[in-house]
Amino acid sequence: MSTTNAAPALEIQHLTVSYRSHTVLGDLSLPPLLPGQLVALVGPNATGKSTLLRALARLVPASGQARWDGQDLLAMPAAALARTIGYMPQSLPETAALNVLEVTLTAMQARDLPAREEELAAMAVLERLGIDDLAMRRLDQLSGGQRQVAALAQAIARDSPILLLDEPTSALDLRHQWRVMDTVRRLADSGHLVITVLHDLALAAQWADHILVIHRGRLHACGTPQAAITPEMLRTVYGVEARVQRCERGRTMVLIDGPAEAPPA
Amino acid sequence: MTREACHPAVVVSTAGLDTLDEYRRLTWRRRGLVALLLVLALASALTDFVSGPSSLGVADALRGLFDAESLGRGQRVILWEVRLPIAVLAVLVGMALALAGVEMQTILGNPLAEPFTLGVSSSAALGAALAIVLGVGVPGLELSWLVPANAFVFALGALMLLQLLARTHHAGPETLVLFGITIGFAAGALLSLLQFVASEDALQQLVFWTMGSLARADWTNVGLLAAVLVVTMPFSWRAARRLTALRLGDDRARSFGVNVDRLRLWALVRASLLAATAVALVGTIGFVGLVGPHMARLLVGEDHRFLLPASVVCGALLMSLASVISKTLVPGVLMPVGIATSLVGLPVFLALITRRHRRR
Repeated sequence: MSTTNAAPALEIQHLTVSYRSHTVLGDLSLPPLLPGQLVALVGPNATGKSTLLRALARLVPASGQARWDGQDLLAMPAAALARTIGYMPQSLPETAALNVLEVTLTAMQARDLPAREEELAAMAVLERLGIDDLAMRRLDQLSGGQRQVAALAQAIARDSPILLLDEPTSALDLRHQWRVMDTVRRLADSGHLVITVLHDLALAAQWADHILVIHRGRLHACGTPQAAITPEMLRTVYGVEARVQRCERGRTMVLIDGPAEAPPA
Repeated sequence: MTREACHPAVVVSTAGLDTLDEYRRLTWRRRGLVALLLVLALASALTDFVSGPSSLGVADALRGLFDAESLGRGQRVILWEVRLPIAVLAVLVGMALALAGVEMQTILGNPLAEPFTLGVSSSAALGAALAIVLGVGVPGLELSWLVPANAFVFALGALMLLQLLARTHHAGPETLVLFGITIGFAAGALLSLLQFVASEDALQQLVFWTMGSLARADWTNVGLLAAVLVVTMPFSWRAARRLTALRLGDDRARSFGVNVDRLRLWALVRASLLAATAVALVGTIGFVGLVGPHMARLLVGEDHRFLLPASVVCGALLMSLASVISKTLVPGVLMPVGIATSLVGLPVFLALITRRHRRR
C-alpha cells in the first residue's frame, strides 16, 4: 500500500482498446477512483467491462492514460504492476495438478517474501475467505464455486492496493456470494480500491459504493447505486422495463417487468 | 486462537498452522521421492554398467570401476570405453529428453507435447537420412560426425522454424503445437522419400539410426550432452516458479508479473538444445520425453520446484532401465534402446494412471 499522505487515485483518461478494426473501449474517461472504494462495473454482455479490467492489468494493449498515485500503469515494469494490481480472471483452470495453497503461493511471487512469511500470508488469506479447509485439495477436486473462491484468494494474496475482479460471484451459491462480497467489502474498507465486474445488479447495489455503467465501450452512467441504477438506465442499456425500489434497509431492488418496446440504444 | 503471528498483519489460526505443517511434510515427502528416484536411477545405471554380453563378471566389473589397473587391457576397454559411457549416456539422455518434455508440456499447455510431437525427432531423422543416404551435410566434418551434426542442425532448425512461425503469426500455444505437428509430418514425408531412393545398406543404417541406439556412446558424446545439461538446468530451475504460474494460464501468469513471452521463448530454446543434442547423439528415442514428466507429475504434482527435478530423475531412471533391458532381453544381443524405452515406459505409465484413477 502507498504510504504517501495524499491519497492516491486511479485516474483513467481516454482509454481506448481496439482489436484490429473493432473498438471495444472507446475513449473511456472515468472520475478518479479512490482507495477504500468498492466500484461495481455493470452493463450488458460484451460491452467492454472485462476488457477494461484486462487493459488495466495490461493483458490487452491499450492507449490513453491510466495512472495510479501518479505512476503510469500502462508503462510500469511488469513486477511493479503485479504489486500494484491484483487481477482475478473469470475462471481458474482445473487441469493443473496443484493444490489451493500452492496456487495461492504461486500468485505471490512478485511480493518476494521469505518462504515462511509467504506461507503464513497465504494461509491467512485462505482463512479470511473461509476456504482454509480446502488448502491441501487439488484444483481438480474442487467444485466450480470453490475454484472461484480460490481464484479470489490468488488476487487478494498479492496484497496489492488495487484489486480487479472479473465476476467473482458468477458461479457461487448465495452463502458463498455473501462471503465473497463481504470479504471484498472489508478489503475496500481496509483501504484497497476494488473494481469488480458484476452482472447481478442487486449485489452491486447492496455492496458497492460506486457504480459504473459501461455500455458499448463507453461510460453511460456513474454514481452511487441510487443514482446510477434507474428505470431509464435499465431501459436504455439493458433493453428492459423495470422498477427500482428501495427496501426498508435502504437497499436497492430491481424488478424486471419485461423487455422494453425499443431495443437497447 | 493463534499459535503464531510472524508478521504484524498476518494472523493464522492453530488449524491453519497445522495445515502449513502438513504442507511442509508434503514438500519433504516430495523431496524424499525425488531422492528415492535418484537412488533407483543410480542403481539402474550400476546394473547397466555390470551387465553386458562379454564374460566380465559383476565382481570384476565393480572392482574395475574403482581400480581399473586390476583388470586386463581388454576388460578395461570394455568397462571404461564401452559399458561406462553407455550407462552414463543413458542417464544423461533420459535427463535431457525428460527435461525438454516437461518444459515443452508446460509452455505449450499440452500434456502430449514432447520432442516427438513437435517434429524435432522427425527432423533430426531427416537430417541423419540426408547424411546416410546422400552424404549431404554440414561441410568439413568427417563421416562419423556427419550424421549427428546433421541431425542436430535439423532438429534445432525445426524448432527455430517453429519459433519463427509462432512469432510471425503471433501464434498461441495451440497453433504452435499444430505447426510442430505439420513440421513433423513434412519431415516424415521427406524421410520416406529418402528411404524410397536409398540403397539397401543405407536403408538398413537409417532404420537402425531411427530406432535409437546407445552403441555409439563414447566420452565425447557424454561430455557434450553433460555440458548442455549443465548449461541449461540452472536456468530451468530458476524459472520453476514462473513455469508453475504458467500452468494457471497466460493471463494469470502475466498478472503475477511473469513475462510470459520471454519465459516461453527461453524454455523452448532450452528444450530445443536438450532434445536436439540427445537425438543427434543416440537417434530417435520415443516415450521418455512424454512418460518421464507424466510419471513425475503423478508423483509430485505440478509445483515445478519439484516437478522439474522429478522429471529429470524419472527420465534418467526410464532410460537407464531401457538400456539394461536392451542388453538383457535377448542374451548376447544389444537391442536398439528406442524399442526398450517403450517396453519399459508403457507398463510404468499404465500402472501410475490406473493407480491414480483408483485413488480418485
